[in-house]
This record gives sequence, structure tokens and C-alpha cells, in this order.
Amino acid sequence: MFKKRSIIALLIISVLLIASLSGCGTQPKDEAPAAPAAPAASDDGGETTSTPEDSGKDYKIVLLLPGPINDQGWNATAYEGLQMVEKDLGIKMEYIESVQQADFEAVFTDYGSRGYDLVFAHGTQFYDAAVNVGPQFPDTFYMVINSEEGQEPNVGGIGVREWEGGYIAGIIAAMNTDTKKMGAIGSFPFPVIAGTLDAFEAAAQRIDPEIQVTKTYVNSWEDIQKGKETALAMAEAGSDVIFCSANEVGLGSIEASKTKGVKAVGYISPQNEVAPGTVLSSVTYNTPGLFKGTVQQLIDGELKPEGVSLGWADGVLDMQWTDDIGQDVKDAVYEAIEELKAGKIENPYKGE
Amino acid sequence: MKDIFNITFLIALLSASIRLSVPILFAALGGMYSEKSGVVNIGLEGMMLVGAFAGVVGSYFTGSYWIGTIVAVLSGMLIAALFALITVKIKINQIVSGVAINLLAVGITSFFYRALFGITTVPITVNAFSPVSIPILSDIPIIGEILFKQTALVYIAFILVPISHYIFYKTSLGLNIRTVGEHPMAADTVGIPVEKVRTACVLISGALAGLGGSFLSLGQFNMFVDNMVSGRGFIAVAAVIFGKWSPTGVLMASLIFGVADALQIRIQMSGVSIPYQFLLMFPYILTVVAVTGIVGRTTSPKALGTPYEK
Repeated sequence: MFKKRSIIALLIISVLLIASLSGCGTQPKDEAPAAPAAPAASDDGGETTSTPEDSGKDYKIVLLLPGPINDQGWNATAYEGLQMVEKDLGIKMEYIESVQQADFEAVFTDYGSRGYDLVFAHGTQFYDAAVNVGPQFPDTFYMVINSEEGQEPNVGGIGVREWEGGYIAGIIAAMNTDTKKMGAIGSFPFPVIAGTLDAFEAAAQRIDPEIQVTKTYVNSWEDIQKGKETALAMAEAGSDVIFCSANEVGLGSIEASKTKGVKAVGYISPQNEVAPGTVLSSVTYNTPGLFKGTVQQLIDGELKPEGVSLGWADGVLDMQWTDDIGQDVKDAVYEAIEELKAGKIENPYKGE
Repeated sequence: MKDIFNITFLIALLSASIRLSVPILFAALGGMYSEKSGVVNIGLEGMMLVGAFAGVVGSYFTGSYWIGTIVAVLSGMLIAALFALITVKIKINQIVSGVAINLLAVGITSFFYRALFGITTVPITVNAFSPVSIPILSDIPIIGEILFKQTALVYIAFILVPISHYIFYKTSLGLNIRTVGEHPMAADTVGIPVEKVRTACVLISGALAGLGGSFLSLGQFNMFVDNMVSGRGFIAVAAVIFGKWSPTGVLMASLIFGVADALQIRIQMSGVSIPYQFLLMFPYILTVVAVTGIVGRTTSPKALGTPYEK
């Protein structure tokens, strides 16, 4: 009796494990990885990056994501990047979703020892782990998205100047407010996010110094109910344009704006279709382009272990307009974009 | 700050509190059934997530949010049945099994969402509840505005409180549940089927947690996003303890959590110079206070957490 019971228990636990792993685990897009000790690609003379041979060569590339690929935001745009690389460059990339902070180094080590050419890590929080693990695997290049630093010999960073996106959102919002009150929601007060909200405020006050911006943080990337309640409270306090930089939480704030009949500015992914008539326009990230550009550098052997910072001038940000937007708004936006491109505007981040 | 305590503010605050407390209330009532019978249910979070997902699926394929809600309840019961099998029948550690249920729920909801809808840049939207004003009652000043202009699920949540109270303290079924939770051997001796009662209570907890999940996806939104429950199931576990395992206590606890959250948002917005992290901590500090029993001795069912071996 007892034996039978423990067999059933084992069975159930293994089913549970397999089911939960298949949900959030790896989804190999490549053939089964070769034996760990035999990295097929790129190893002539200890180069840090692969050398260009023929374009049909097999590259082993993996993308590590801090969240799920259908978050309609940060991770979704990375997945689009992966698809773009596959379509335009003919290179299949693997990806892993929801990599937890505690596992960063282990995952980096795993792919390093399996001889991967390029490991993308989608978020600045991966940087410390990449610096720790990188030197052990000189044949693997670690590219940390949203890091503005890099380290010899093989850790690179591509930073996005998110505040430039917040700045443009602020201009669109400021030209659509009647109450001169607006709300800006952030996930966590990281310098990147706080800087985005500060830029939103600075841009709005450039249009009209009387505008007040209420800034709050929800401490989450995914709690859409909190996003909705925060935006509702902002609307009740008189704000008539809401901006949100917090992934899925943004969907909650757009839903609240729709309920209250106020406007929202879409951010990161094209969100005009989420609530037509409510979303004024979206400031979008051309994150897919970052991936394509980096993989192209890998093919050309031009990857450099340094951090770069990209913004409007580099084509990383883009606009998705709706038909409701007047030409005057577009003109003001394009004027500001030109100023940002020329480096005439300083980062308005106020610090802690 | 000066105009913070006017009547419109109060109405907005309290009606937001209600919306924020309802998902916790559903799950906590469910958790109470399970715990009264002696089974610790840490898996509420996962059961809510499954309910939130199933509700959207049901509404998507039938076009009816009521059917979606029923699907959510049934799915919550299905995953609860698995939990009952592991904890009541096979008698594996209840905490560990609950954690497993939570992990499983994150995986299966995300997996089936993609299997059904693919990877989308705009969320799939479905038919969902809209607020219903109850005639006459909603015309009462202030209270009508706060309580009687909500979605149908809110009313259901609040009606469940007196119903649960009645079941626990006025029926023999409730007496049986409490006996099983306090002293399973005594219950067995007088012929109460311990395992059946516990299984039934775990199923009820799954049904209610599923309802709580569907309140989020269909009552507050018309979509499902990954991990949208965001820890409310764990707050519900705390609310059961805070509410001292009684329906009215659980109601009060859920409301306190709701008010804390709604107030936190507004205090942050008003620009008061309290570090915002402190405000965000507020509901969780309450939880810790509740769990450590500072608010008075908590009286848990005696057999809570221990499987019954004949």
C-alpha cells in the first residue's frame, strides 16, 4: 500500500515538474546543441569574436529574457528582434524566458561552456553576472541590452537612452492636456525609469510651465490592477493624460484612461490598437533593430567589448502616430527629435 | 494635501478599496474553507491565476463572460482537485505541494495562452463584466456610490461572507468541517469521513480562488496577461490568518488590505514626503503583523497542516 502510494506521488511530482518546465523553460529554436567541448563555430586563433567566413555558417546565439515573451512590452520587443534576425539574416536564435536573478551566472556559464558565439541578456540587471562570467569563456560574447558599460575582453553593452522616449511622450501629452495636470507611472525608481519620468515632466513643462506632473511607482512590471487603480486615482485627481513606463502595468493604465475618458500615451511597443481613441500615439522602441545590428556585427567580426548608448540619433526610437494627432503636435515632436539628435537637450534626470 | 479629505476623495478611495479587496476576499474565503478543515492552502495564488486565465478563455470561445466565470470556477476546482489528491490522499507536505501548484499555474497558463492565441503584441480582449447599479440602493448618497455601482462579482463576493458564516456556524456541515480541522481522529470516530470533507473544502477553495482570478481578468479587465495575479493569493493566505479563520474576520482583513493599497497610491500621488517604498510596504507590514500574532493570539485549527493517518 505504502509503495503504491509513493509511486503515485513520484509520478504526479514529475508530471508537475515537466508541465511547469515546458511552460516557462527553454524553447530550443535550434537543433540539439552539440557536445559541450566541441564548439563548431569561430575558433581560429583565439579571436574574441567569430570571424567572417561564409554567410551560411552556423552561429549559436541565445537570448536570455527576464520575463515572458508575451508581456506586450520589453520582452515582446526582444522576441520580435529574434524573429527579425531569423527572417533577415537567416540565423536562428534560441531563447529562454523568465530567467531569475539568482540564475544569471549559472545560465551564462552554461552557454559559455557550450561554446555559444553570442549570448544576449535583455536587461541591465544582467551586467554584473556577465562581467563575472565573461573572462572564463573568451570565445563567447556577452551582450547586455540596456547596459551602457562593457568590459574587455568580451562583454558589451547597448544602452537605450529611454529618457529620450519619455521626453517625446511628454511633448505629445502636454499638447493634449486641458487640465494642465498629467500622470506618469513608473515601475521601480531605477535611474533609467526615474529619468524617463523626469524627462516626461521636463518636456511637458517646456511646452507649458504651468503643467503639473504627478509621478508614482507601482513596484511591479506586471501588476495590471495596480496600474489601473493608480491611473484611475490620477484621473480622479484631475490628470487628463497618463503615461506609463512599466511593461504590462501600462495596459492597466490605458484601461483606466479608457474608463475615465482621458488620454494615454503608448510606450515601448506600438499600443495604439490597445484602445483606439484613448491612446494618442505611441513612442516605440526599435529593439528588434538592436538585435539585428548586433548579430550583423558578429557576422562581420566587429563586436566590441564596450558600452554604447543609443537614442533617436541611432534610429532606436520611433513613433506610431494615430490619425487624431494634429500637424502642430507632429511638428513639435519632430523639432524635439531633431534637438535630441543634435544633442542639444540634456538628460533631465534629477537623481535620487 | 489640503483638498485630500473631501467627500469625493473619500468616495473614490473607498470604491477603489473595494475593487482592490475583492480578489483577496474571494481567495481568502476559499483559503478559509480549506484551512478550517485542516489543509494549509499556499496554492491560492496559482489557483487564482488559473481562474483568471480560464475565465478569459471561456469568454473568448463562448462570448459570454458568465460562462467564462463558470469555466474559471471549474478550472480552479480542477487544479484544487490535483492539490487535494496530493495533500489529502497521498499526504505529501501541504506547503511544498502548494508551492508546486503555484509554479505549475504560472507554467500552464503561459503555455496554453500561447498555444491558443499565439504571441501577440496587442492583448486578446474578450467580453467582460461592466458595473451594474443596483436600483434604489445605488441612490443612497455616498454608500450607494461606493458599494452599489460595482460589477456583479463584487456583490457575489460580499454575499459569500454571510453565507459562509451560516455554513460554518449554523449547519452540521460546518460543524463537521470544524471538527475535522480541530480533531480529525474524533471526527473519524463519530463517523465523519475526514478525507472527503477535506477534499470538498479544498475544492471549494479552488472554486473561490478561481472566482477571484476571474474578477481580475473579467471584472477589472477584459484580458489575461502573464502572472497578472501578482501576489494577491499570498496576501489572501495572510488575510485568512489575520481574519482569525472567521468569515467576518476575513472580510475585515481583506478590506484593510484593500484600503491600505488604495491609500498608498493616493498618498504617493499627493507628494507627501514619506519615502514611497514605505507606503508600498504598508500592506505587507500588516501581513507580517498578522502572521506574528501581534494583534492578539490567533487561533488556528488544531490539526492545520497535518495529514490525517488512521
